[in-house]
Amino acid sequence: MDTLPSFCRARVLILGVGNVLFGNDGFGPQVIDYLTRHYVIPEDIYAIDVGTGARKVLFTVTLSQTRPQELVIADAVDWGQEIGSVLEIPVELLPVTKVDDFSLHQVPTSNMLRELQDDCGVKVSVVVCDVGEIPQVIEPGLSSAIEAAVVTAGEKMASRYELRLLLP
Amino acid sequence: MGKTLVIQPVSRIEGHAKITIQLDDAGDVADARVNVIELRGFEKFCVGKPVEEMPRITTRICGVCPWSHHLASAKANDAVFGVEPAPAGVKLRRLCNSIAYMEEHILHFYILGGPDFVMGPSSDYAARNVIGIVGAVPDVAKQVVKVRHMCAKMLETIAGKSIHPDAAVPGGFSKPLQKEERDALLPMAQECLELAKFSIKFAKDNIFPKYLDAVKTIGTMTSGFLGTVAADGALDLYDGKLRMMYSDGSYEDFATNDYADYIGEHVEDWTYLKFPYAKKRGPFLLEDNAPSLYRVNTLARINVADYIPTPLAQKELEEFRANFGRPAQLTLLYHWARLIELLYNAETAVQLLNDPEITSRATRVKVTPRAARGVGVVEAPRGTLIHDYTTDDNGILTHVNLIVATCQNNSAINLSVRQAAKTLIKSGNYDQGTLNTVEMAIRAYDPCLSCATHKLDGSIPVKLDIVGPDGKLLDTLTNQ
Repeated sequence: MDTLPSFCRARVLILGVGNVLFGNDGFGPQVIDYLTRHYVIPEDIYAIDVGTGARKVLFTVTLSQTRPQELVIADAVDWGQEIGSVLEIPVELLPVTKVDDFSLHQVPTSNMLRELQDDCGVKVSVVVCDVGEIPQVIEPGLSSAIEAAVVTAGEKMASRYELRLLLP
Repeated sequence: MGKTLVIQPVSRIEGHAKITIQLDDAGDVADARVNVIELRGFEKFCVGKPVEEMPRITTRICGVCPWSHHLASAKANDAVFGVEPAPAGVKLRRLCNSIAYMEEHILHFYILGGPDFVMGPSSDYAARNVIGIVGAVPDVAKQVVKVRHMCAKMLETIAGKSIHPDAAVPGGFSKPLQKEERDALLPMAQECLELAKFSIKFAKDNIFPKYLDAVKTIGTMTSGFLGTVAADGALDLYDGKLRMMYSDGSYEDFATNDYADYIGEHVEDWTYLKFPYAKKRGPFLLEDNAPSLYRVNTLARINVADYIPTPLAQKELEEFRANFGRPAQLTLLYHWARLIELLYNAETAVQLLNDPEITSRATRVKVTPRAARGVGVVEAPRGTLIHDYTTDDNGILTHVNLIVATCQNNSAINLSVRQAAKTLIKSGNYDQGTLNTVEMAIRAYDPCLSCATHKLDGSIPVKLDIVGPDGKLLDTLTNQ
């Protein structure tokens, strides 16, 4: 049996990051849900809802000698932009080291993304949606603006990787 | 005027926290507090939901230790439904627990806490990371990587997925293990065992001696300990009775259902995280050696257990106790205890995979909704985790209470940080290495703060208090 987790062997790894229990913070996982419900995901692409467990996967990928060529992170941010706006940002724009003044969840995640790109040769792209404030108490469900943003982000990814629509 | 240093956030622990260190006029530490800046509301959210959904929902609380929440919830479900889960199902749960433990303990020792020791606390922050470790000890890193891959692969094979598991169900486990799967997993578990054996030897030969002074000085405190033991007092991370051991080594055992009789929860207005304390030993006091003060996590479990039921880990326990006594109190010994547990879990995984019953098809029993209360307790890697559910006749939740591991170490983390800061910062002198060493006191507890917070009404804003030498509030920074 192959001892590598499946996501290490993928050519493209797409991670949906966020907590579906906290309103629009569920943007990332919902992008994965959208992709898997509407498109055929080919064998060389691995799309996974990692919730708030992105670190587990990123550690494993960072330390692996077999890695995806491309890593795509879908996540929610609160940067004061128009709510629902979807941006793709280069990893260079991620905050450095300990300063984590935006809501990309666990601090080391942003560090590891840099390490993956700079030291491991993985092309990293981060697709973020400005969701405004995340509720402070549990409140599942996306707002209509973020539901639309999920479709926008999902369609962009489907187009980039030429995913085939699932037959009805 | 006293000066306040803020270290925010603490890197390489799960979730977000900030440390506030207050200096007095002489530049010495007057006080230090660890504040949590996240907010949850999980228990209230769960009321009204079918109880059988909880093992799946609770893995969403936090992606860091989903298996512990998953298993505690499944056990609480067993209790609510009033069933004894199928023996093979219990063994599969225990196997997953051991593998998840190995994954976590390896992660913590080599990656989260490891950089402090392997690279040194004064090394450049940019080098104290995953790649830094690989560069410093490439051969070790290679094996660590391989075994972590195997742990993820084993969980994927046994349970279908490792991130948000759903294989443990009320009454057992949903997916029997195939014989060919068991045959493929056994060599992996044996390789995990080899790494566990190597790790504790590597640490004893190369790391612990170098940092023995740090072990004896950083974050030291005296407390009681809470952990789970089997009926005969053996270390057990999945099931058993709770044991509250006091600082003098005396202890009380109690059934998990009775936890509220022994554990109180104190609230402070400067943090969202509650402060559990040993109720039977008097009021809550945030003071070193307070009678009601206790700790959880690896060192606690190693202390409360009479013995470890696997031979290699038992041998390590005997050596540990010969060196540090029982109960051992030095905070950085959490790292040593973590490696003993790593060994125990690796031995356990091999034992379970060699057990013929592990491939039984009978992995679950039927359950029927009823009005009842059920308490599920497991030892999460970070400490004792309690899920307490009450349902109505239809199995709908009417009450939920969770006490998570990091919460139970809240007092200890604060006291250890205060002690570390007082030891290291004198006359206003500090540097990056000093501040990181303060953080080391926190990392020893391997805290996960993202699921430790659960303030229901959401009425208190996130704030930072700046307090002067006379105790008066000088300023408040708030997020509102």
